[in-house]
Amino acid sequence: MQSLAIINQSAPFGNNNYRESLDMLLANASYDRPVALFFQGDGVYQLLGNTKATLTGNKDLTKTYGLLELYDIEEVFVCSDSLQLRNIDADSLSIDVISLDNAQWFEKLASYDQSMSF
Amino acid sequence: MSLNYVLVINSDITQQGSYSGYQFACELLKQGHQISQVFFYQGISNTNGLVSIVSDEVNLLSLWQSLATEHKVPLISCISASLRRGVADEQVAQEQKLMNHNLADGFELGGLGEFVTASAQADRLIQF
Amino acid sequence: MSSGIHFNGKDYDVDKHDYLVNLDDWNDDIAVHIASLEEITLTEEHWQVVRFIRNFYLEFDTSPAVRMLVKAVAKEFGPEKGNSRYLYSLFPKGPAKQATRIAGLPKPAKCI
Repeated sequence: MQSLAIINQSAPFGNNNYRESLDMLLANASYDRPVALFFQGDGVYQLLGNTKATLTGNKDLTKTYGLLELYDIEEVFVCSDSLQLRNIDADSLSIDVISLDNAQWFEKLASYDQSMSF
Repeated sequence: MSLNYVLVINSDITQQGSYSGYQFACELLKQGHQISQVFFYQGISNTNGLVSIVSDEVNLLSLWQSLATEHKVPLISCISASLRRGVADEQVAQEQKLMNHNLADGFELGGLGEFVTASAQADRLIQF
Repeated sequence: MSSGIHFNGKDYDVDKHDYLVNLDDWNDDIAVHIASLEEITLTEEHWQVVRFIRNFYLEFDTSPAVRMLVKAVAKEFGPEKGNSRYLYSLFPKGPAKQATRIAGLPKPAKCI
């Protein structure tokens, strides 16, 4: 079975990429396929704790990402360079993620057989 | 060496990604590779049978359909993504009490599970 | 056509599949009534799943489809309950479909 990395690179709420990416991830996890979730670029905005998603007609992101734990998805990574560029503190994120610098990022990503990005 | 591919279409029918995906599929077949599935996820507008194109523009819908009939490539469309975007086949339209159905011929609605099963076994997954 | 839910002299707001629209309309009595519409008599085993699925919704903001439900029940109550055979024995027409309706939740999306 091929492993799969899903990369979130768009900010939440402008479109439903964040939601359909999660559906895709959970579907793969529910078939016991090895999966990982990566946040980079504007995708790191999905990790901000203090968003009021319901104001934009969306669902609460922190609740939504609670599903990662239900599916035992622990391979969740964020690009530390993307955080720095946006002046976001790695300690202020809403879910547990592993921070990787650029070199580690590409090395980790390359360890998966397939990838999709949203 | 012949490889087994799964393509996932996340582009709208009006975006270049969809046509590139089609071209890529044709080239794969020409070079002797297999395509076990083309999965329409966010690119649901590619599967809408009500799309109508003037005759001097590329009709991507009919190109996809010929890929399915001539080369037996399964065109699977994600059912929940389809419903969210207003595409249904006859049976699902009835179940969901919709006024009409519009999934184009040659396409089939399927769960994400069908994509997972196909892609988990594929040598390559390519997203458009 | 939707036949609606009428109970104790009140008409409840429902969607076109006769699922309650307002989360707050739900209580134990209406659950028993909806279960009877599904031809189910609620036992303690049913209640365990109904309450669990309702808490699941409050925690994760999503109505679980069957695969997710099985997974979550297995995690909470162990594999002897977290399997589709057990859940179908309680909710023969589909555990996710019927249990969410009885629990006053939105109908789960198709797919996953």
